[in-house]
Amino acid sequence: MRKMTFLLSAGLLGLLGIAAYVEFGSGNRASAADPAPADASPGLAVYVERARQAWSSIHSTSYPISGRVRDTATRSDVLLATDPRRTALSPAELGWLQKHHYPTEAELAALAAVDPTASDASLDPRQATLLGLALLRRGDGGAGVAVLRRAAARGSIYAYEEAAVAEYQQRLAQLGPSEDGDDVLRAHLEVAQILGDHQAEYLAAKYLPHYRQRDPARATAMQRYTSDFLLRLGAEAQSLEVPPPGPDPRPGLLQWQDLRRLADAGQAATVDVYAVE
Amino acid sequence: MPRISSVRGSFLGALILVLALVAIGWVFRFPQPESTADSNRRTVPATVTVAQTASGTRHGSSRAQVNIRRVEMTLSDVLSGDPRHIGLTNEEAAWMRRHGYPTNKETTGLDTLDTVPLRGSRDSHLATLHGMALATKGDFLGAAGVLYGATALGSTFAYEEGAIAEYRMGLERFGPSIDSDDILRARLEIAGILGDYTVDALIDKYLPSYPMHERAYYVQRHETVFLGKLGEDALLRGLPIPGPDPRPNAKAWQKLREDAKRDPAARVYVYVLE
Repeated sequence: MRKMTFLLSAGLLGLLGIAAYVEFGSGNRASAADPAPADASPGLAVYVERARQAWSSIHSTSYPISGRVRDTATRSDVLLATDPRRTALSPAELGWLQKHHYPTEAELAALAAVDPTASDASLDPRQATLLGLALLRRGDGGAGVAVLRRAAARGSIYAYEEAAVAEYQQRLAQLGPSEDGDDVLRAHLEVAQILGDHQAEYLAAKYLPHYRQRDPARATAMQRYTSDFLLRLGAEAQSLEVPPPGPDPRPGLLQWQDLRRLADAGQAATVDVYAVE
Repeated sequence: MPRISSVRGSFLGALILVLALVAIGWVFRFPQPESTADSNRRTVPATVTVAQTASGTRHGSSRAQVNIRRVEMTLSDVLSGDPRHIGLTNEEAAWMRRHGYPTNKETTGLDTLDTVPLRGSRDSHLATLHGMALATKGDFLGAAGVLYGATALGSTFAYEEGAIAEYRMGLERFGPSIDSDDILRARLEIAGILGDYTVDALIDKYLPSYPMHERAYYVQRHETVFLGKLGEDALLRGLPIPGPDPRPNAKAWQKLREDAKRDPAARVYVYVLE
């Protein structure tokens, strides 16, 4: 009898031990009664670093780069004096530029060699963007804008921006300046920002430096146009039977803001600029 | 060494047995109900299988089992209800199904729906029902979180309901404010941008006298930020980024409203999900 009691007790103690291990020892569950681990309060800096690493990991998978990356040290005042839209301050930003079909310097330099009679339907969005730019350069504004708009519906944010500016300039040449023309361009640039390109601000500052965005009439018009243009982009994607372009924030917003703050303070820094060889 | 008597040994054995059973029971304890209001629960809708509630899909919906039915209605009946649930063509109903719009049957009895099996679902349809059930039970904070999560999974309807839940939470906690109105208006504008023009019915219902002309600047600022967040959320979850997908029949709805003014008793065929 004593032997049986002993064996039963030992067996049940074993079960108790297994249960305790599963509940408290396996590390799968947290318990309010658990003592805090040594790194439970690592401080804000550790969380910021973890978030940075998490975003870095997300960016590297979301924006893979094709080609060999080279980085060049550049002064920030030189960088900000030119069009910053095709400039990447990190490999992630470079990958984003590639994903959204921003042309390289070499591609822009070779625009004259693009066949203007090609049909954009047979081209990928990057080649279609280059075709649209080539048509604009040859003075065929109508066809250039149409090709760029279709490339935009297939994911080329650069094509969207270039089409907006080309259309604005054509209207300016034909009808002269107008508040409606300004509203339309501002709304297109807002769409480019919504799609992710924080550098579209450069175009707003260049073409619409005095736009009164807080004026209720301007704000109402711009808001309506912005919604309309986004819907039009979706309708265009539907007709092309491709997924609609959605908001895909370009990495590097804070870095660019820091450079601009530096410039506002009359200072400059040397930064690495990334490009594909 | 003192000898243990058989009575004390048996008592010790029984004590250990009880302790072991309690410990095992604790380890394999059942999950607690999400809310005390769940006591009289309804199970997950019949269109949803247990396997789907358990695993869902990475990005998608269990909606393949939802059918489209053609029904005849008067124009006044079509316009007196929530137009978001009505399609004027089969294609419009298919759009509703694609974007997570629930059936009328699913939206009844949400207050007694057992939400526990729906927790953490990666199925846009199930996540939408989960969020709607939480909102019906008055948990607006939880509802908004779940519904915005369902938006990332592809449900435009969830975005609209999330906006309403968020707005009602603000009203409940802080009372009415123009900032809350700005945010709701921006969110509903985004639902329109994602494609659903019938969201105008919600604007008329919740913000009938909103001063859009004076507040357009703030609405646009909110829209730009909220749309960016929608993209970031999808990136973080490793899901496709939602973009504008216009609902069919925008012009047909306008014509239907004009026809209803002339002859509200006229009958039309519409398409609903069931």
